Amino acid sequence: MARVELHNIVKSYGDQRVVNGIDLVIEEGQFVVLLGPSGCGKTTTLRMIAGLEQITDGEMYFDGRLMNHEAPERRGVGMVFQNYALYPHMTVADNLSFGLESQRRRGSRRKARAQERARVLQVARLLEIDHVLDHRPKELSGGQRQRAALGRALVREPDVFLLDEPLSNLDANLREKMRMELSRLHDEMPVTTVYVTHDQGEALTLADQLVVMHEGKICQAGQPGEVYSAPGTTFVAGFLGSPGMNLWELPGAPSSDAGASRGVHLSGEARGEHVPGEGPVVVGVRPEHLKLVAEGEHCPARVDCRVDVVENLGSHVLVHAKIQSSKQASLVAKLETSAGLRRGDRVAFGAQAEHVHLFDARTGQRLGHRLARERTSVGV
Amino acid sequence: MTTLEQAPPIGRSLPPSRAQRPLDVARPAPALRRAKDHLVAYGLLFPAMAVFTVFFFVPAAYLVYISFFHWGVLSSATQFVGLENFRHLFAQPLFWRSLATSGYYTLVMIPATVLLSLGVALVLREAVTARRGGIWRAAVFLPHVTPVVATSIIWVWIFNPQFGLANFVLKSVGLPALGWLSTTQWALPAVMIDSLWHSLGLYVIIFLAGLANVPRELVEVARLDGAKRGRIFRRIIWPLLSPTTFFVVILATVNSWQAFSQIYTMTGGPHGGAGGPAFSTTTDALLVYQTAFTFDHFSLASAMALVLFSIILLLTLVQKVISNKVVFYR
Repeated sequence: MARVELHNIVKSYGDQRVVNGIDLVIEEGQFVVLLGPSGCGKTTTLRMIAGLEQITDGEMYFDGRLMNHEAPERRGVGMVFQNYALYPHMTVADNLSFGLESQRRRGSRRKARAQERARVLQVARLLEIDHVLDHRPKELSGGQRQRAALGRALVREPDVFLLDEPLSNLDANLREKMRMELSRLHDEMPVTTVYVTHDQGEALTLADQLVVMHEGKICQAGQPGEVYSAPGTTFVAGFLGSPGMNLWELPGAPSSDAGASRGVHLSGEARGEHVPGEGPVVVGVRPEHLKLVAEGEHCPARVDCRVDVVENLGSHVLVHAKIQSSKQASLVAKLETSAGLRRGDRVAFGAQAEHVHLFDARTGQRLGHRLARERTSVGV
Repeated sequence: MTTLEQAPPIGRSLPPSRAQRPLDVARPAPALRRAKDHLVAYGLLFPAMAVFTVFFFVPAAYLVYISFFHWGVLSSATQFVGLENFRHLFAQPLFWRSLATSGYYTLVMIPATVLLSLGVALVLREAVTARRGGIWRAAVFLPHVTPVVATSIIWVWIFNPQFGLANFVLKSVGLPALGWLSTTQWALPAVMIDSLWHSLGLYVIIFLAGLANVPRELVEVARLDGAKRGRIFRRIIWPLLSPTTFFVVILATVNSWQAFSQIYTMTGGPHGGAGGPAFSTTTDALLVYQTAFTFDHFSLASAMALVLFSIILLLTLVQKVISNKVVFYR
């Protein structure tokens, strides 16, 4: 296990900067997930940790050792690629033992081989692929390929375990199952792990620490629950959650309880520490925190709107509505199926003060409530 | 809405009415449609098939036919002689020598072609930046698009014993000058060098395409697994490149057995004497040409060509059988 430190890491291709000054500390044994949309630089960051991409600027350390110019094979990392990258002409056993053979030192070859075989079998048993060791990758199912790829990376007992969207090629059911398997595996073998994904479900369930990236930078890092409940920027607020947080830009927070800006009524309680008149703000409420409000009922945050579309998803409904007195603003609310709303209904949605998030419209940064962690370091 | 009472019993579906299948009404019957498709396909294939038939299949069939006859271009009388041409052919020492020369030429050319073109392809892929890559690839491919006769004439100058570039280089590094095309020992190697230089570009391009098909992740994962360059090539790239290598071996085999233009141009040309000195460069293909067009024995040349065809076919089949064991298809 290794402690990984990234200090102001930059990666440029010509004039284009794809990673733009990343600072991150990953403690020994932590499971860190890099989450972000396509092109945000998360895979490039992972490849720089692996040594497959040169670092343009900044410094990277494993246990205090500078790694910038260290060859990939000398870093002690194991990596699982999105498409598994299993050697197609080798059996699963050969795939697993390739790394061990490559690192075999001089001495008794027979003894070394026996040890390698034992190690391969041990990992194969752990991953439940010991019955397909003599199969070639094309003879395996998607899940078995996934396990074989994990096995190949784990068999060498890496100090850092890197996974690049390893579940994205699996179907939904298998993905869920493998997600649990990965979690179990990390509990059994607590190797420092960096996991890249654009799937927030995977990120929220697997991560000890979640790092949200956007446009080559870290937007926010922290424990998954913390990042979800107190997003530091409008990007994180909109990106995390399915659907993402409702965000409404207002020219300024209404200064009185009775006032409304663009159809959004905010009481002083909901405005929190935000001082009126500071400039344009973005108000955010998660869809699951919006409730139907009866006429005359008091609610710290209230939005009057007209129902546009109702999507029935079995366990709940998603209500898409247009905000009255605003031509373009809309909201999504996650309600119980018994809500009984129809297109065209005029309703009011409300949220409690603790569920109202305020952001500076110019910088996108969170206002009012202080972030639990403002540092991008995710060290404990 | 269909109620349970109205629904047809399971397993006995009702035939769909015309009203339910509006799109099918205008469609012709499947058999007619298939016939129409076939007609279009054959119509499109016709020009290529016509050219192939007139210039390849008919002459090839006619070659088989006249190999069993006494036949001459100028004589109208043809006489069936059965296997006489083949008997006469196998009794000729020059025929066996030409086979040996062709075999030797092929045996040297195949490994030389594979090693050299793969080496150049690896260097081009590894060492050349993307921007300059195109220029280098074009430079390597250029000899292949130049007519063999033209490149062979250049190589005749290069191998000139008095003022050729080859001997100039040898002398400048302290080695003795060679007679090249005028000696039995060096004439065939000189032709081989020309052939290699001329055909290299094609094989390099084929290998570059093969290398591009080896997934980058496999090489990266092997690096992470701690494998050095040599081991990555031996255990990952070489096995995955085996279909390409097999294709190059087949192509090099066929081209080597059929080598003619460069030998004809370099060792004699239109002034005669091709295949010398002392038949040291007389390959099977050259002997076929000389038998037919210099000595006017078309029947014998046809029999010879048929034997050459059988040898190439046999070799290709043997290679195919071997390939099933050593070539890995993903």
